[in-house]
Amino acid sequence: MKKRFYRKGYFFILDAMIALTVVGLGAVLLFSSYANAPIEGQASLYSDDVMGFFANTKIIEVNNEYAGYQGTLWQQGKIDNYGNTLLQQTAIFYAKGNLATAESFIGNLTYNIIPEQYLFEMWIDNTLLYPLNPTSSHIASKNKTKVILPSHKLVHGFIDQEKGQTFGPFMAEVLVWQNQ
Amino acid sequence: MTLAKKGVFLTFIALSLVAAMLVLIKPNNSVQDNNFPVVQNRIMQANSFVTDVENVYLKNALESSGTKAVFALIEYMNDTDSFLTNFDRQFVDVMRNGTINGSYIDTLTNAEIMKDNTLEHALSVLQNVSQDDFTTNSLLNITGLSAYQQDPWNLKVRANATLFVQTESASWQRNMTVIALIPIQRFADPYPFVNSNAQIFNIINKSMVKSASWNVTSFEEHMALGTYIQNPAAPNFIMRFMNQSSSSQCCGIESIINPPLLSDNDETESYADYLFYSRAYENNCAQLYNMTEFYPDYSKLKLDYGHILLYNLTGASFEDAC
Repeated sequence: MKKRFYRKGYFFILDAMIALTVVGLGAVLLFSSYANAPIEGQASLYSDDVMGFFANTKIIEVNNEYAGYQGTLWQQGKIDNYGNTLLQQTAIFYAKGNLATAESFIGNLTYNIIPEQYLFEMWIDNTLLYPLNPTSSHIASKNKTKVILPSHKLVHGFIDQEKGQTFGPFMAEVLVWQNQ
Repeated sequence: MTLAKKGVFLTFIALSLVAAMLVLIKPNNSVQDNNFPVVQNRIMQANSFVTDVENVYLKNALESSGTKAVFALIEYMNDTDSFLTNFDRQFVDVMRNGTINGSYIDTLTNAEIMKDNTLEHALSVLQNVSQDDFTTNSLLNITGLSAYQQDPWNLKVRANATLFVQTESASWQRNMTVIALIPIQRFADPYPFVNSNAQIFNIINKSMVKSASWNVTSFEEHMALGTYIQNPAAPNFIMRFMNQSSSSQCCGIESIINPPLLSDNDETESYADYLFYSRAYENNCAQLYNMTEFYPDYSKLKLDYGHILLYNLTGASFEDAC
């Protein structure tokens, strides 16, 4: 009689463990469907980061031999106001029609900032500035991506502050997505 | 009976473990709701738009349209050879709509200075960009606009505004006061220009000479270049548009009239510009002095004793003007 009762105890423990395993497996299967969510969030964070970097950093604050103060573009006279933000300078290149300079400016400043598995685009006033001529694989990758959360910013400033000559306002847009 | 209770106990333990596990591995709500990041993103973008309008756009628009309005008013005074009657009202009208006394200033001056540069134009452009690119409805109402000075070298433009922004997910209404600073060291001074019938055209530039360092040489250079110094007894930049020669404690500036530029350069006046054109010493020749040590071109120049002190010329040789 005593032996039978002990066996019932084992049965309950075994039963609970099986139940736990089933529920655990179910939970793992259920929540594995959310595995992609953090990746979308990550891309969105990158787009905000790139936009924040361009919108909040001034030419004089950036240590870059090509795009910074007294760098190549400065010496070529293509940049003449170190108080402008990187985003304002990009918009000035766009407003003056220097799209190739804008592309190399953006490329130099974002080199090594965005991990290789991500691709990004920068638009000003609905014109693609980076990359200026996207490759077919770039376009295909973008088309494959289900959700892209862009980062937008209003950009406005002076082309010639002495004369009160302004550019814009333009919408600046940064898109970052995972390369697929 | 006792052993049966043990089974129930073990079942409860098992259920508790399962419940604990479910709680621990419950996914984050923000990830579970697929729409949430998109809505959050849209609200953040709209919020950033509101901040950009307040901190960047409106300030730049005020500075730009204010700068253009000053250029347009100087052009207008140049063309009409007259002073303004009320700077604040006329400046605000030109800045806001491009009109002066009800007419388009560009038409009157035959110059395209205010075209596409008025504040109203800037507000309508913003409205279009907001609608077309940011898919938000925005309206920026300027409720008050004024110009004033708090230092000699800058004009300040203050705008009280209300910004309405409406998106699919949220709406904003923000009252704001924005002040733009317009440096005056780029504009022509209308005061000597109109008074001299265009014989004197000075672009306002601050003299780099420190007050204790003045001497005959630096004074002559100051006069020849038409540079300016701060002087609380002189009128400020705004007052110069209205031919006012009274003092401005905070913001008065003066230049010295360069005698060779005038057709009649032997006036019985102190050649500090505001004294010269207000005829302050017209009947007081006894208080004027000729500086005999100056370069011959400046031999007709006369100064009152206050300016001899101001420019540290007491060591130079001078004689009574009459």
